[in-house]
Amino acid sequence: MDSSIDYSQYSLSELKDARRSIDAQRYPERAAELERRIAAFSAQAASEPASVSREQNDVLRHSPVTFYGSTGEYFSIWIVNVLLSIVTLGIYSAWAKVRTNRYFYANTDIDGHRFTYLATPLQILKGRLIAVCLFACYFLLSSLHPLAGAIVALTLAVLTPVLVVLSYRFKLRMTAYRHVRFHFDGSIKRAFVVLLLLPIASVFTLYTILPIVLKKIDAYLIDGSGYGDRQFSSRLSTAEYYGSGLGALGIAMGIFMVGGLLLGVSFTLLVTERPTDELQEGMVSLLSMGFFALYGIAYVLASGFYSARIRNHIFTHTGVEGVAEFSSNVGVWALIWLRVSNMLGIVCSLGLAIPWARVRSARFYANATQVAILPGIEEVVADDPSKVGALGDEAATLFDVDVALG
Amino acid sequence: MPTVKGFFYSAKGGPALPVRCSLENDHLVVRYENNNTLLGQYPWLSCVAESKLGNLPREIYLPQGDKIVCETFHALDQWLDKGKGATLFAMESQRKWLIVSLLLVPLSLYGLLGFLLPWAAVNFAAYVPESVKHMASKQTLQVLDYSMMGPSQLPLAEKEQIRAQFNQVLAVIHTRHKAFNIVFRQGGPLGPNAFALPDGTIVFTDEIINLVDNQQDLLDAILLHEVGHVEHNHSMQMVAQSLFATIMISTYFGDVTGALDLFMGVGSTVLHNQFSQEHEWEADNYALAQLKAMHRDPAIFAQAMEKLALLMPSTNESVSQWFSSHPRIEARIENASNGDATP
Repeated sequence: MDSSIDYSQYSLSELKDARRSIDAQRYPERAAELERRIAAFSAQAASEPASVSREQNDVLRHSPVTFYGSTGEYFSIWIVNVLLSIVTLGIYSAWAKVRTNRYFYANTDIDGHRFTYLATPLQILKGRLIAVCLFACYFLLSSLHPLAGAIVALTLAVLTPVLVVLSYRFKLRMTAYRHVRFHFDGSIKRAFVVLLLLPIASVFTLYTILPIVLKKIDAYLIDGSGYGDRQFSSRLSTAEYYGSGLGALGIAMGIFMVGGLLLGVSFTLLVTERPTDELQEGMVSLLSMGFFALYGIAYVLASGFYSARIRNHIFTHTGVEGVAEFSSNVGVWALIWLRVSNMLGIVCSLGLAIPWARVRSARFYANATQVAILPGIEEVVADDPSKVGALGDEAATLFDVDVALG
Repeated sequence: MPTVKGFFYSAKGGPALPVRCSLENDHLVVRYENNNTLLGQYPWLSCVAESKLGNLPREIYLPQGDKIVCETFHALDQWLDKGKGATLFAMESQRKWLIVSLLLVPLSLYGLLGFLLPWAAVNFAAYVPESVKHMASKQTLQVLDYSMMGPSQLPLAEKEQIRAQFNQVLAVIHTRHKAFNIVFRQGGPLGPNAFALPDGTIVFTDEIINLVDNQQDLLDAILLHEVGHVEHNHSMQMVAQSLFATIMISTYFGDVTGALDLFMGVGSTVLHNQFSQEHEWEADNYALAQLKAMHRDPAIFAQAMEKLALLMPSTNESVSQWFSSHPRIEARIENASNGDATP
C-alpha cells in the first residue's frame, strides 16, 4: 500500500474527518501531515478577510506584493529621461520607456522573485515611428480633406479591437516572472464582439447592459492571458458589476443634485441682492466654474468607488491554474486620496512630482495586493510558441502598439 | 571577494534555484546556496547583462537561455559592464547630472516649444503645394456650407458693388499671392465673421456686412486683415503647428495617463492660442501697413475693431488671455490707432 496519500486536494472538513478517523499510532507521518495542513488552513483563514470565500486548495505560502522603488532614485532616472527625450527630439523616449518600465517591473517583488520587462528600445521606437506616421497622415488628411479624415477615423474606430489585442499581446509577451513569459491569446474575432459590438449594443439598450459589457471585456482580457503553459481564469460576478456601476452612478447623481441645489440657491440669493449687469456676468462665470468643479468632484468620487470595488473583485476572483490566486483590498477613500493628491502634487509642481506620484501609486497598489502561491509554481514551463499562432505572435513582438487602454 | 545571493532560472522554466554568485579568476562563479556545490562558471563573453539601473539586482543571461538574477556589488557591476552602458547609470545617479537636468529641462522645453516648433511649422507650411491648399480650401468650404453656412441673402447689386471695391483694393496692394476669390455667405452659427482659406478664398458673412453698415472703408480693412492671413500662409502653419505639438506632447507625456490628460490638453490649448494670437497680430499689421501704403487712415481699422468689440464680452483678465485664440480687442484697437508706432 502506498505510504503517502495526497492530501493536497482535501478540503478543511475532509482533512478534519481524516484526522479523526486516522490511526495516529500506525501512521504518525500522515497524522502529522494532516495536522500541518489543518493548521495551514486556519492560519490562512485568520490572515484573510472573512468575505473571501475561495476554494482553499493547498496553498504553498502567502506572499505580499512588495515594491522596492524609491522616489529619490526614480526622480533622477526620470529627469534624465525627460532631458534626453527633449534634446533628441523624442527619439530617446523609446529608451526612456524601456528604462522606466524596467525600473517599475524589476522593483516589484512577489515571493522573492521580481518581474522583468523584456522589450528593447528599438521595438518601442519602431512602434512609435509607425504610430507617429499614421497619426500625421490622419491629421493632415482630416485638416486638408475633412471627409477623407472622417472615413479614416471611422476605419480606425472599427479597427480598435485589433489594436487592443496587438497592444495586449505585446505588453504581456514583454513581461516575465521567474524567467517565464506571459502571453495573450484572446482571439481577434472575439475581440470584435466584446470590444466593438457589445459596447455599441449597450448604447441601444440605453446603457442598461453596460455593466455586463464591462464584465465581458475584463473577462476577455483576463481569460485570454497566460503565464508560461498556464492560463489565467476569472469567475467574475455580474451582480458585482451592476452593484459597483449603480453605486458609482448614484454617487455622481447625488453630488450633482446636492451641489446643484446649493449652487442654485446661493446664485439666486447673490443675484437678487445686487443686480448690476457686470456682477451678473461675473456670477454666470462663477456658476459655470461651480458646475465644472461639481463635475470634477463627481468624477473623482464615482470613478474612485468603481475602480476600487472592481479591482478588488477582479483580483479576488482571478487565478492562474495551480500557480497562484490573488486578492486585493484597495480602500475606496484611500484610492480617491491617492488620485487627488497625485494630481494636485503634479499640477502644483508643474510636473516635477510625476516620479513621486508614480512611485507611490506603484507602492499603493502593491501593498493592496496579496498572492497565494500554489505548488504548481515550480512546474510552470515556458509555453511552446509554435503551438499558438506563431506568426501572429511573432508579428506582435516586432513593435509596440501603443494604445491607451481606457 | 564578496558573494551575493541570487536565483538561477532555467531556460525551460521549472523551479528557481537559490544560488550564491561571486567573481573568481575573471569568471562568474555560481554555487548552490544550500550545499555550496558548483552550478557553473561563466566567462565574461558568455554573460549578457541588462544595463545597470538604479538599485536593481543584476539580470544576467547565460548561454542556452538560462538566467541569473542576483544582488550586486561594485566589482561585479564593473566586471559586467566593462565601462559600457554605465554612462546612463552615471547620469541617472549623480547629483551633478540631477542639477544639470533640472536646469536644462525647462530651458530646452522653452527652446523647443517657443522657437523650434514654430520655426518647423512655418517652414513645413511653406512646402505645402498650391494644389493641396486649393483642395483643402474647397473641401473646407463645402463642409462649412453643408453644416453651418447658407447662401447669402444680400441683394446681388450690393454684393457686386462690394466685390468691385474689393478688387480695386486687391489691385494695388503688395502681395505674393496671385488670386483672391471673395465669396458671400449667410453665417448661421458663425455670426458676423470673415475668414480666409489657404488658397485665397475669403468668406464674408452677411452678418458682418450688416454689422459695419456696408461701410466700404471698414470692409476694406477687414479684407486686408484676411489677406494678411493668406499672405503669411497662416492656415497651413496652424495645421503644421497643431500636428507637431500633438505628436510632441503625446510622445513625451504619452505614458502619463488619467487626470493628467486634462492638464496636457490645457497645455496644448495655450500653445495653440499663443501661435494663433501671433497670427492675428501679423495679419493686423499687414492690414495696417497696406492701408498706409494706400494713403488711407489706419484709424478705420480701429473703427472696424470697435464695431466687432461691441459683440464680444469684455475681458481684462490676463489669465483668460492664454485660453483665447485672438488677442484682446482693446489692444488691437490701440495697435491700430497708433499706426505709426507699429512696424
